[in-house]
Amino acid sequence: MDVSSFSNQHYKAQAILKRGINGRPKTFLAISETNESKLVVKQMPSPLFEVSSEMQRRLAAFLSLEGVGIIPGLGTYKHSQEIYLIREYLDARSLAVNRIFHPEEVRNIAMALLEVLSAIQYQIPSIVHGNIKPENIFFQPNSSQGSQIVLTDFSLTPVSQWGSNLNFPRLSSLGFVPLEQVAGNPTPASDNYAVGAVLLSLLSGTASHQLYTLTSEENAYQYPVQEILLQQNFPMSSYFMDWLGTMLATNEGDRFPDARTALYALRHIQVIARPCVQVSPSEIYLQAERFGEQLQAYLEVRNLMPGTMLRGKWRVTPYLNDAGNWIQFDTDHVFGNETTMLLSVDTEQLLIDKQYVRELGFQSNSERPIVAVSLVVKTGSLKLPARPLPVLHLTGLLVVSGFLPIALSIILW
Amino acid sequence: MREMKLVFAAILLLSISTVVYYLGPYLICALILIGTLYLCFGVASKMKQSGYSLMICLIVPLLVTLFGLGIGFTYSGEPLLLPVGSIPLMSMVIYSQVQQRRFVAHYQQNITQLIKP
Repeated sequence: MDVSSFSNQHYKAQAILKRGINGRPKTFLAISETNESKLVVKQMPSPLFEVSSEMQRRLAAFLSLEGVGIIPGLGTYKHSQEIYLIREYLDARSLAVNRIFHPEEVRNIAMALLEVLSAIQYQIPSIVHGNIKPENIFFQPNSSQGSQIVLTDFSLTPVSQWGSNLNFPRLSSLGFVPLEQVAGNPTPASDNYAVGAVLLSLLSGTASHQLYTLTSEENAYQYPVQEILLQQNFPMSSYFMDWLGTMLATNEGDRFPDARTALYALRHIQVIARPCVQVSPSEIYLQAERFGEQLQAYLEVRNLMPGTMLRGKWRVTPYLNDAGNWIQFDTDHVFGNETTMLLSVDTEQLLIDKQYVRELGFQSNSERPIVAVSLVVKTGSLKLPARPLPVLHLTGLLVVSGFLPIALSIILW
Repeated sequence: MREMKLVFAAILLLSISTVVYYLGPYLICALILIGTLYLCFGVASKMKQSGYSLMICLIVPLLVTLFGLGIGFTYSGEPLLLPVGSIPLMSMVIYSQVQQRRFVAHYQQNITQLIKP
């Protein structure tokens, strides 16, 4: 279908921005015939004869929306049994870009987004956006109006868009819609879930249509937040991880009830926090009695910074031609704030009666990227392992068994 | 009454004395056998705790018992049995020395491949 067929006396359709499932233009760019300003025209989800009173109420509320961070609706027009919604065109980038955002950037976006949502949730009548995803959030880095975030495309039918089949939300929205919204009961907490999902997609660099792949296998609405965030390179604070976990709670009652509560909680949270690592002992001295002896020592790694999670791994600093294979850790990787590691030294690969000095390095996400521990190994002499014989028992056995023939000879005599 | 008790005690003592007189050597022999087996087990378990292999833990108490029997038979007038017990025991002492030498030889052979300080 030619896009020009959607034009009328007020608007001239220019380009298709988005097509529907049947290939028909769903959203297109238009030019106002009166002031030549650019506009976005979007087809409403239901045809004219199916518009419900709830949809009319939301449409009226949407058209009355005003404020920073919202693109106001300009009106509607009818075209061949369909209703089209007109809004201003925004020359800005959406958040649906293929990159991983820095946690501080994400925090700023979260704050701005929640501020906008707070404003629309506290007005009368209160509105649930119902369609928050990166494609509908525009980012204006040099905004003169204060808020850098602009929300578009409010859902006019947030209630049960997918009928009774809860397993098949649309792919583009899959992952951003909580269970209660799919079931037809959206609340302000539903928008919090969507905001949480947006933040998770930005932090993990996951595209919107693939976000559902991050959900757990058991529950399509549940995100293993901590697991996902710990895979990222940035050292995120556990407070922020908990906050995001609350935003993305499967159960609506476990989430922040509205945007303002979530915003208030986020204000006091640091996103990035580096652990402070302490390794003890800082020097290990091991002495072998004999050649080939296996030596062991314990190393304790502690994180002194609350609200952070320590991650790191041990490695032996290579020394000349020695790769350090004779030094082993029971587990190379440390994941936790208090870990005890077992260090094993195999002196079978070393010369006898010598002293070996090596350096162990603990690489971590802490303030000190590498913590060095000195290892001194003194090898033993060349003698077989001393295994004492039970001399007392052997002597007793010798004496007692010696009396057996004597006793037998007495009997026979 | 008291006399009756004394009579019964005398009969009991006499019975025990008779049993000990006729079966005494057999009882002593049995006790020595039990003691030998107990000490064999004790030596084996102590050696196992010290890290010896199971085979060594079984052979050593048997050889020592054999050596002890040899001494006993020598005392009883059968001196030819003494070497039968002592030769395996001595071979074990020699084997430990051979093992030490092999251990040193193995180290000398691989010394170039060992890691330098």
